[in-house]
Amino acid sequence: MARVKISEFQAKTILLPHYLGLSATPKTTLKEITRTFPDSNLVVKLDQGIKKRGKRGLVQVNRTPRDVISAIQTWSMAGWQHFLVEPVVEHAPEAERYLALERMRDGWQLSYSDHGGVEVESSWDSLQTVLVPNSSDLSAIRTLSLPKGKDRSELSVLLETLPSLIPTLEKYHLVFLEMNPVLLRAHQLIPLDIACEVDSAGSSLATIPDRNQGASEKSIAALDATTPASLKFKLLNPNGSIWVLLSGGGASLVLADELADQGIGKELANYGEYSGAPKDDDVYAYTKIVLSALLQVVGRKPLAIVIAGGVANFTDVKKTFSGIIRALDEKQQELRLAKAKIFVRRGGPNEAAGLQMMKDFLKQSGLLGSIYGHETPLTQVVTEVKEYLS
Amino acid sequence: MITIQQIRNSTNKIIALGNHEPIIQSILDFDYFSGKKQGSVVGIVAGRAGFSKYFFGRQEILIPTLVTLGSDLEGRAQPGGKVRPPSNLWFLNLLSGRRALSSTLAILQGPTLKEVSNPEGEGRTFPKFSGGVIFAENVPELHSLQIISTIYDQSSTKLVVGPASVGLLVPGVLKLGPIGGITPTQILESKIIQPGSVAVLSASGGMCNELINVAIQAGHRLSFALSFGGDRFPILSPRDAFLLAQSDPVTKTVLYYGELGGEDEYELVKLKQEGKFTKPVIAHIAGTVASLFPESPQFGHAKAKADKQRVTAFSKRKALASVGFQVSNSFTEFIEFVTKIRSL
Repeated sequence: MARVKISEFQAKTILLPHYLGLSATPKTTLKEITRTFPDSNLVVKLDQGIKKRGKRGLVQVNRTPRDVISAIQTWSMAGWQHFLVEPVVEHAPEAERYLALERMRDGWQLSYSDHGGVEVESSWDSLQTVLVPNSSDLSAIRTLSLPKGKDRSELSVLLETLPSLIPTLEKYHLVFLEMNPVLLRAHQLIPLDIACEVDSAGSSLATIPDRNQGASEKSIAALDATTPASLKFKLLNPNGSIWVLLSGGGASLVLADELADQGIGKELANYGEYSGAPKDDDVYAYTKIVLSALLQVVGRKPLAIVIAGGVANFTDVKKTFSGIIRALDEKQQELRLAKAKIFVRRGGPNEAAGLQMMKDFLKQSGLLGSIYGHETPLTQVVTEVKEYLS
Repeated sequence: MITIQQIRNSTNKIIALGNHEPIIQSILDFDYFSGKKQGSVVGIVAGRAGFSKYFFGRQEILIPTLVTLGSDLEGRAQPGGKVRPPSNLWFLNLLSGRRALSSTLAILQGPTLKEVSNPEGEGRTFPKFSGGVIFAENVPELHSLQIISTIYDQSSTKLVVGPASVGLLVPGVLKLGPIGGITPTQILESKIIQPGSVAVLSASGGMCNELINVAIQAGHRLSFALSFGGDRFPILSPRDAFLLAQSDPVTKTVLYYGELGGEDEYELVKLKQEGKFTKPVIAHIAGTVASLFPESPQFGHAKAKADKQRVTAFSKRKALASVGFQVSNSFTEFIEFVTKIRSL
């Protein structure tokens, strides 16, 4: 439901006709490489959507197939899994440019710099930006000042290639493309490195998963994929003493902000939200995964669990709370041992019944911190968590 | 584009695309509590011809269901009569994200409506849609952009809110979506049928309702409220939503909720600098928590990610404050600001 990175291999396969790269893994053999690339002068690089690969030593140029295999082996020992192998494109370093296209409301924002390559961050001042309304109105491109003394051939490369590049981006719902460096020569854009993002709402292209996704994050992502509602979870600090079960994309952000604003952001163990009227079984499964992550580190310090959200428009408080209570009930003894208290604030459909049910359960289980409905300010609960933990 | 005042000054009728029972019933409850003689939902496009049972107050009513939008709409929609001008006709698109584009374009371009109407018959001309709401999440960016360009190509721009919007609310007049709640208790307790002078404009559906709650708890009533949705390119942009508030004589103050990511707030800055927006605004931009992460994570809404400094919550708060918006540094402070609005 958002902009997500795709691999460089996938982007180049879509954008470049006759693309010759090989997507490699730690299992790739020397034979595969020599068979794919009869010419032995190669580039090997990491292909997992990581920025600043050059600076981090994750790109090697002018390598033999044997060098490529050994680079892949070294990198895979550091946990990397996906690599890209390509033939070297011979060029003079001063021919390297920076070119990016980003989808905006009124068209494509094109950014260009004479200074391509890994040093581009140090020369942001050289960046020129124009808005291209669509692929048939390229007049803005002519206002760019490209290197002189080349009879404006680089400009003509842009004018020749953009009319087909932009529709290709749109066809695949690609919304951000950064080519750095890129060569503008012989009627072609020749990107050496690419970073690319796709609008996942419009495309089924495979996207790059978060490298550091842990078990609980993976389980919730899998759960999220099976429901029309939204279930999100990110583990920040497993040793943190504040665990949150928040509802709503906006309210979850406001509550997490408030924890940071009140100076207890470092204690925030996770961020996440459920919204879009999930079924009580989904909320049960979601809560269960969060609780098992929470109980993995049984701490010396007391824990606060925040179950909070805004005043829902259409998510049923009673239904979602019954899912949460089922999961809490199964772990109530462990939660008491972990010195956990639960702080609740929620409003919406069936609020009174949902809150009463939650209050009864929390009292009976000895887990009650505090519980409020819509008449109490959303962020009050954060103040109480702070008091409890101090 | 239709103004909020024009919405207040005429009757409003709704065609729902998709039969979402709790939402549609909540609209009828709102109408009933507002003292209307009839519910505003006059037809439901549900893929079958027939009727769907609902309640208007304690009375059971039958709302016609239609196979497609064009199918014999004038004849069957609205029990006991035809929709005649000066009614505003609205669509409430409750279909999935993948179907949002085709179904919305069918409405906006609306050829089927003309084809089935009988130009010779008296009172048979069905009014054109004034606009509508797209409820679905997960609408591709390019689909939203296509709807935007269709709208602005038309002679009279339609008021289309969404995607990922909980709707548009004009107290006592129009509830187009789940906005304000779906149970009778919520609709009565939240006092969304009583008109006032505070407008709520929000990127988030849940926070839209929370802002309504904050305003009501502070003793205010609403002029109108809408959630333009948390997508990258909301069809009704925050800029246009502010212009609606500016042109509305009833609106005295605007409460605004925005998030990190996207450029929309810089359009608001421009609007203020150009003198096109002059009313008092209390704004909250969420997402400062992103600074706790090494790289801005993707939060709940599609737009909610700051990939550059300019679009972080901190930068946008600063920019809005620099042109004279009242910007809160925390949500607790936002609530305090709202409490201090003088009733006008």
